[in-house]
Amino acid sequence: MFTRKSLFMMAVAGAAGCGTAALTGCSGDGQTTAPLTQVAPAAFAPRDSAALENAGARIWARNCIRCHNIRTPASFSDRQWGIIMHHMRVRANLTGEQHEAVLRFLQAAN
Amino acid sequence: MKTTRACIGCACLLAGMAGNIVRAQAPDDRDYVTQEQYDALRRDFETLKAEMRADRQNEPATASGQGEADGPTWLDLERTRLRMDAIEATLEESRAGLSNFMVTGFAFTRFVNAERMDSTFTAKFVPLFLWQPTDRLLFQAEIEFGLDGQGETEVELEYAEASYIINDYLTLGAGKFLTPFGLFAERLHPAWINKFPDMPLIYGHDGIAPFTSLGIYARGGVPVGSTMFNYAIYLSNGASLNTGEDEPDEAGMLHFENFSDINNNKSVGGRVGFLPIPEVEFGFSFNWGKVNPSGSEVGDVDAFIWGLDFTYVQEVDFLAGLFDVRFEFARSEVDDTVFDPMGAALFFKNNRDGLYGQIAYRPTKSGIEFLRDFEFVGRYDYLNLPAGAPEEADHERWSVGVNYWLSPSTVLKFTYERLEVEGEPDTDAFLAMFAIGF
Repeated sequence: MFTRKSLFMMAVAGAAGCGTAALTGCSGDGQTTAPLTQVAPAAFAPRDSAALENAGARIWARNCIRCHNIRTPASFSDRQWGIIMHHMRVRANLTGEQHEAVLRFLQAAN
Repeated sequence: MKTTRACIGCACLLAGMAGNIVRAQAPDDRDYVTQEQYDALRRDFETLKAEMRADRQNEPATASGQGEADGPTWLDLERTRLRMDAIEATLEESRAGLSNFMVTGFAFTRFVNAERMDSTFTAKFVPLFLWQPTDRLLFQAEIEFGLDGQGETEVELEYAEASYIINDYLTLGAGKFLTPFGLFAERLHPAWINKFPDMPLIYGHDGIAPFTSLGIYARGGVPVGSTMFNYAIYLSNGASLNTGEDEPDEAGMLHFENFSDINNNKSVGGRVGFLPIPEVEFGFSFNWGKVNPSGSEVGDVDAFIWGLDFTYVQEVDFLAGLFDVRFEFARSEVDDTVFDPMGAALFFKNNRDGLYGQIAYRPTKSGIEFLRDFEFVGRYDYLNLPAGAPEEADHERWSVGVNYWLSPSTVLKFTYERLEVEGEPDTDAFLAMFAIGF
């Protein structure tokens, strides 16, 4: 019993370590992992529309998947995305900036 | 502008013509204009007159309302257009999917075939109502519709809360909410998100981690340098200790369905998460409060529950797919007390702990397109119960499964499980689920 438990936990730890090691160098798409500041710009950062949409795409792609499969922008109307993103802001503890960026991206891509 | 130019041109032309006529009429000037010249000038004049007329017709009416007397002015048309736009916008807002209210949620059908038990199907429909009256205010409620063993419909209010965004980093809320303890209750419980057809052992009726709470909360996220922190803190009615008076078998267990406080004492809890990068999250959770019912013979009893969680999710190139690793540990420590179920004094060290570790792999980058919709999952979990308690048998479970994704929120799950309960024969089970998020 103890051996199997240990083996499984070692496998989980190994898998996590393996993934984390991969992360420290580069992200899954072979690009250098962007610092989180780039996807979560500070509150005083200029709210340029294109930059926000760009940041929103990155947050959407890298954060939503942490809990569930990503739904395409076409899954809901612009107004519905507004409500869903409010819900997700509360649930996932997003900052106001992240919330706005993802919403802008989803509505622009819809 | 065109009109002005035309007027000037016309005036010059007339002046020229007049000059010629004057010259023609002068008795000492015998230089008459020819018929050809006269006709050419006349043609030019007629052309300019036509252009002036056309310009006047195309010109908008002035604000003073001086326009064409025999039809609607440009201003009238503009007013009508604005009125029609407003009517159209009102109609659009009343269409489904375009109001500030929406219904989302999930539904599932599950089949369970476990050793020494009758196999059975179950089904649940769990709509989530979202209403956003303003940009800062959100009301959300999830209701679970299911069937009990007698075929009666069961309705349960999973959560119902209102939240208000104070600023970029703080949201306040109140109501019955999913407890921000660990990962599963808040983020993973919907059937289309959970990788397995059932919950980890540390959650649920016999579990040790709170699932929902009734009270108030504050929460948010804060970027720090190149990393991210998130937090949630809450005050709630808290857990209640089963003293064994009504249910002797459950003496010592904590119940979290304490929706009318049993001891006039609120419990406090929260979770802090740290994300060094978006794909990785570490979390620490706690819940502390008095859990004995008022006036109970067990006296004052505090419970402290704490937990750790870890998440790593990323599409990894060398594995050609999405890699998902989760881990949660929870421990509950309840003050020593003596229970008296069935009139017999009972004492045990009332500490419990449990965990689950879970791996999922989906070959999203496989060269074989058919394989990309499959997901292979494995989970190990255990629950250690206190020795000497009426329910003291430790539980250990292994689960492996294959999921097939029909769409990003529609999944077919097939799981094989082996449950080992201390002192009992092992139980093998096959579970299948069809879940859809909408």
